[in-house]
Amino acid sequence: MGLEANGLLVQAAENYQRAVRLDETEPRWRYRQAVLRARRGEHDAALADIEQVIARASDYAPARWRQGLWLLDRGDAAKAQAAFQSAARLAPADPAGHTGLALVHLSKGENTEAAAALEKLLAATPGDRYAMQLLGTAYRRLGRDTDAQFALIVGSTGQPAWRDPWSDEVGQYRRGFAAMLKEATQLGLERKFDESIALLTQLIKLRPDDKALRVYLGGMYAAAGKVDQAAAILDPVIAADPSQFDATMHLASGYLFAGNLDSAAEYASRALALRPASADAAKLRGMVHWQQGLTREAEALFDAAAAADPRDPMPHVWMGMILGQQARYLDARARFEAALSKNPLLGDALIGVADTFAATGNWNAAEVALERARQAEPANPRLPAARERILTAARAARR
Amino acid sequence: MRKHFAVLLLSAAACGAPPGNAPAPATPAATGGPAWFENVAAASGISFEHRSGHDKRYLLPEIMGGGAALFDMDGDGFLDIFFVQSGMFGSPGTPAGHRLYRNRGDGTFEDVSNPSGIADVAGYGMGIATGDYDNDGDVDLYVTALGANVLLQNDGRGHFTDVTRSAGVAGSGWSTSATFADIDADGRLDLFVTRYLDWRLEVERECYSLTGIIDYCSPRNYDAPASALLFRNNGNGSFTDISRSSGIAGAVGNGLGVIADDVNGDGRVDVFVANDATPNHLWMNAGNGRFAESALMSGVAIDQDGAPKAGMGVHAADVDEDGDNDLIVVNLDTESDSFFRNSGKFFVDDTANVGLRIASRRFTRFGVAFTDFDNDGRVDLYEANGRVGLQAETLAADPYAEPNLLFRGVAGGRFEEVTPRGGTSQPLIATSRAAAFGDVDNDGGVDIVVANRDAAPYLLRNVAPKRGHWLLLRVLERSGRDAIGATLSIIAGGRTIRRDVRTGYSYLAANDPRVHVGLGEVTKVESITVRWADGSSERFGPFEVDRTVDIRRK
Repeated sequence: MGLEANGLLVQAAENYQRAVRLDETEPRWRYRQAVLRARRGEHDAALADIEQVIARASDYAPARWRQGLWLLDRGDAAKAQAAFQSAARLAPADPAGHTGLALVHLSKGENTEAAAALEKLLAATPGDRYAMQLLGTAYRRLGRDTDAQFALIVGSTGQPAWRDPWSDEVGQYRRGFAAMLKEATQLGLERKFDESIALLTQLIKLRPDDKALRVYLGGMYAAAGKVDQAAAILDPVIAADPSQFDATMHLASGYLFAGNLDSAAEYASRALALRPASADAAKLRGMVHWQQGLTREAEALFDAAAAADPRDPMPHVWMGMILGQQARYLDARARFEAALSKNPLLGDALIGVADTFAATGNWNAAEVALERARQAEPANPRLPAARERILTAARAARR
Repeated sequence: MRKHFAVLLLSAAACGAPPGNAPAPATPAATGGPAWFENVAAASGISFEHRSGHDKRYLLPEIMGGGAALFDMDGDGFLDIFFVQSGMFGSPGTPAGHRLYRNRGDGTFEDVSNPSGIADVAGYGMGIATGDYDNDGDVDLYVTALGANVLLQNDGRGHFTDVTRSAGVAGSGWSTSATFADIDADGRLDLFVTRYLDWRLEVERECYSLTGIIDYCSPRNYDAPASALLFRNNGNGSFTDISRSSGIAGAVGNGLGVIADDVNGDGRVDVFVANDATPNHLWMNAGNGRFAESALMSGVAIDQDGAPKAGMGVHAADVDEDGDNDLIVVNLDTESDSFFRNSGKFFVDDTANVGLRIASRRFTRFGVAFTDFDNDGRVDLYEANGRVGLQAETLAADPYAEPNLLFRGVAGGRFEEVTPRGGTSQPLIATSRAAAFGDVDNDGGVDIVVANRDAAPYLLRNVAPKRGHWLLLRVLERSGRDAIGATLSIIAGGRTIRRDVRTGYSYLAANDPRVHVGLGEVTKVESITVRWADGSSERFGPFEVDRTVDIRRK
């Protein structure tokens, strides 16, 4: 598993083969061998392996759905169906088997059956984006274009992420610089900044001359709200190379986060000067303007950011917030809806829509938007306050 | 805001392993039937060697080139070859080193780069598009690059003049594949240019393979996708950039492959863009110079695997002979090809049912085409392969090198891999990128030119055994220009076969504009109906087989 986890896949396959010979009764090694063989395109061998795994571990559902997927890859829908049925029977609460059955229906052109299976699955496990995508596919084929559009947009970021403990355990054996860097990034994304900083500090000891890594560590300090430590790392980098964009952005963000708007403005301006076409730089400079109360300048930069990166919904959300603050509720809603056209599950935009409806006394529409926000992003930190604010006002208005 | 703050910091800095992490395939298959191709590049006098410019740092553009074109530069009826050189970074104004080889018609080629004016063209080259933009009856060239692109006007005798500035088509950024297409059916070829991402030397990062070795980054590491460019031909030698007004600039992606095709049969040419690690784009032509992006609703943004794949090359052909063109997009290793069957209103991912789910995912595929190489009446499939990231197991001294793939079209619209792998007696292994398709020796068998990164190219002469009958059609507008955008309905042997006149498909490539059709045992073509790009139709025929025929608009 150490070899597999670190990209030495041929050697990993050889070792799994040896392990299988040493202990025929242990299904996990043969399972890993099967997975590697399938990735090599050796589907016949992989399917023979998985048959043996199933014979030894008949209750391990992931072996069944993998078998189903590989059979489907070969175009063998009938056998795939049986495999997915077994997976669904063994793990009824797991979406894998049910989704696999829907895939079989779709491959056979049984679109009504596919839609029914997916609707049932989504009722039981809401928020499964891959299932939503498949449902959108089924709806499209059934001519239900409006339903399809919503499902496809929601599902466009989805791919199967089905539970497979015998595969998941491989990840713990990742070693080396790239693995540690990836882990540090993940920790940062999970806002575990101290752990991420500790890991990056370790990495810098391994590569003391790695400037990019140093900038990354500085950025992590800035994200952690430790702007002094960030500056201690990043200012020398910028002094040596004033064109260092990332370091400049990190410091601008750090100062903004620390409430030091003058320094934030200085660094954000420098970043924007370095890359005038950068959407991120425009967003950051716009954010600083906004915090400084310069809403007109902020609006111009958010517009520029939206033009530079049409995928990004956030400039629209912030524009909506600015317009809402100016009591321009219809304009604000248009901006929130523009954001939702790019990401229909964006909680901040849905809350914005709810707020604009509430502000104009359309309480029913506000409540619908709030409920969508609750479904789309239940952990959004602005949601509890928004619910309290809007629902209280709605009750008062209805009295 | 706090949340955005963290994401902003992290997205700007994270560098992970590139995605190319499949187990290396088993030793390429060397057994099987007779060869379909032999590499005659060196024997034909082609001495070109691609140079990526790689030195110490791993700069993303180095791993993406180079390009190639098959076109008849001097109207002698033989396809000549243009190789796009990448060149060196940081030396603007220095000639890239593109090479142009004139086909002598006897199986050999002559390097005419210097007298043709090609040798002077500067820039870090990527791909090429061909088309007679000025309707003077000869083929002009558009060379894409990292930086300014170049339009080369042909004088008809094989000499080219750089008219980029007066034409207004230099563009900017990192252009990749491009295609000429008459998007407004006014009889003049317009120009669609895909762009990869917003890359400059100063934004380059350090990335590592899973085994911890420094390597090329994934486009995901930059998160800087770009919009495509669309230039409308004004008819006076100049073009107008209508990227914004047409709507094309309204969506971004890591564009690599492009094909123009009327996917919904409304008479207007649409454009499909294969994007790398971002959803593909399908630009539906709404008329009046406007396009609407509808890949998601059309079923081609992503395939059934549920996530954007690494779209590289693309081709379209009527594989199931239902009158509309199906699409193939080739992707990274571990990702299968995406075969999108056109159902009229939308596309259906039918990759598994045509037999391409398993064999295709072993390698990273770039150049691609559906072509009937053995003239049995069914299109086959060729894919030119090479990695973009290091793997623990290598197949040649070049760690990115891989064998190419050849699939034979069989009954039921399915494909089966041909061995020896790639269709040559011994598998050829290189980091292949562009593949250009055309009948180089006019013998009725489609040949292939493959550009290989940091290596010599292949010229794969078609030697497929027991080739069937064939017809090669040169379809011309009144001006003598190849009728790019015309659609042919060929009635032969009880079948109606659709073919299209196009040069822009595959990856960084321009292809033979002549329409090739394999006929198997059929010895007569009853009729050919041409629907011209402006929607009008004409009927031609009957035709004897095994010959090249000119069809000129009346």
